[in-house]
Amino acid sequence: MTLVDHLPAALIMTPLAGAALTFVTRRRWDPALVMVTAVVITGLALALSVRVLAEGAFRYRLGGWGAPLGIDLVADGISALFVLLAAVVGLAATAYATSYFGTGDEDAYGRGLVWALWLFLWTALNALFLTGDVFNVYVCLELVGISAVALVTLGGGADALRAGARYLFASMLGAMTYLLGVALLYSATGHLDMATLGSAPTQGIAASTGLVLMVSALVLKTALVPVHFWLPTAHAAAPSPVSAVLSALVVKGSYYVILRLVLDVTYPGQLPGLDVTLGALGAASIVWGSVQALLQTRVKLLVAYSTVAQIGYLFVAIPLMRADGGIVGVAVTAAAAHAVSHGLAKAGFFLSAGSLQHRFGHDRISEMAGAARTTPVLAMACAVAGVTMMGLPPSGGFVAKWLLILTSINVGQWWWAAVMIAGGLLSAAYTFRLVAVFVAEGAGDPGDAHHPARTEWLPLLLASAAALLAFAIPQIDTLVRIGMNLGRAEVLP
Amino acid sequence: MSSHLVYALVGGLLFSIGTYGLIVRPHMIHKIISTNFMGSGVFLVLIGLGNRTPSGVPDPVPQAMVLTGIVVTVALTALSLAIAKRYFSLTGRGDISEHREERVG
Repeated sequence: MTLVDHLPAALIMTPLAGAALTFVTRRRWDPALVMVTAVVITGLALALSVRVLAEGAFRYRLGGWGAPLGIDLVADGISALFVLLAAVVGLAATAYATSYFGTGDEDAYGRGLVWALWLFLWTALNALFLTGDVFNVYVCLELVGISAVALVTLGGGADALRAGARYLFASMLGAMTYLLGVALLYSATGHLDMATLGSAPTQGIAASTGLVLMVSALVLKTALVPVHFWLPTAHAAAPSPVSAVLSALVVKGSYYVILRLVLDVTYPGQLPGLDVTLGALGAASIVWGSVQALLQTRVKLLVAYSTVAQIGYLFVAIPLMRADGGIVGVAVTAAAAHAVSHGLAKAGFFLSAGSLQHRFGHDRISEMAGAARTTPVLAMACAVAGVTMMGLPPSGGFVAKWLLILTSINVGQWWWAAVMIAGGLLSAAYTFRLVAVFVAEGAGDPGDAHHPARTEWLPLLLASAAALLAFAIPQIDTLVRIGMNLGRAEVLP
Repeated sequence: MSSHLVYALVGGLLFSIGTYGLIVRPHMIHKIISTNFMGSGVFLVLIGLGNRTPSGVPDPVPQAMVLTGIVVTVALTALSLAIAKRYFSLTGRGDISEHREERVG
């Protein structure tokens, strides 16, 4: 076993070690330590993608114990892509956070606990993306939830605590329901390993009920309409670098598990109606989230509702993935491309919203007139992030929506296309509403800069990456097809 | 009725009571107790179904899951109690319902 074989374990151990180190090092070294950790994780994530591209998917036996007794980590194309997304967004959020949290008084933001919590969250996300075991998913989801809730409440105000508490209770409801699902699935099949579960699917009411409970719990954790109630307040109340990570990565974590269950564990026809139900909830999220985003008067709430809407597209892709009885590879690629481009754009959107909030001292949209002149980089970042939300070329959002619309017409389910086109128009409406305020004549009086302007380039960088993602679609397509069961798959439409 | 089925049914009942309490009760302490009900329910289901092996020897995997689940539930309970305590000391209230939120805002 060579060193590169340990990449999956290294991706989990590195942020964990970094988090542990922040407790023993001096507080003023924390930002540098976390930054170094983030750079190392990004390097490891790149190495993992290169290795998966070169040599294909592989399993890693933790401690040398293989499944079914041990817990296997699985590195295939989709997991490598999500780990890489987490690394890129995480690196940018860390760089932004070093100035956001690095200044101010000593007692703010949990006395420096923010760094440990952030690296714990990253540990849990990497573990979630790399696990191949349905029970380990439960543990990872809980680690994600605990660190995310603690990060939301870091501001310490009553609003942040209430938002955090509601997030926590939604998360616990999801966790217990998921675990009950695992219990039923295990009692019916005797397996916890996803690949084993998928290779010998079990008929029967217990297995089906278990899977339905698991998927319902994950839908709650992904904040699909009508169980999205906890997301907007939690994401808007959190400190901005945290909001960025929550919207860009944490909701993708539970979506990733749904994708795994749909593609790897269930077989077509095992749960009739599940795919269509998920698609319908996704369509409802697109419409409801966009309309709510349009009605918001605060920037961060607008961005948070936009997350509800954009997550909807990921779920509309699910019925299309299995529209022909097998797996439609192009729909999976579209979902993955949308997850990546939304992750990058939404992180950029939230970071620039955070900077705007600090510049203006508030986040009321109506009082931000003139922002395009006084804070041009931030206003530009919001507009460029909007390009992906609306799905204009050459953004990743454009390719994802284009492929999904093509697939839905090809398989004769045009109604999904109608919802996606309507959603694009609504996203344009809420983006232009924001941009119109920015370019309008107005007092535009941002107070003293809270942090150096150089970090204001980071959101623009992230948003631009999303807006240019169309050029990387062939690579994403190659990557997500590695290790996927494409025996029954259809070629590109 | 075999013993494992009794465990599973009681577990399901506890889980349902907990779910009801978590959704309906606005007070944080009620919600925290409800989540612990749900947890105990799931653990009973796991223990009960884990005993249902052909050989009669209990399956260790569900027991390992229960142990891990207890650890996770303790951590979640601790965090939620910490949040509830801090929220109470800031606002003098323990409930986090929508209604109160509107009145404050």
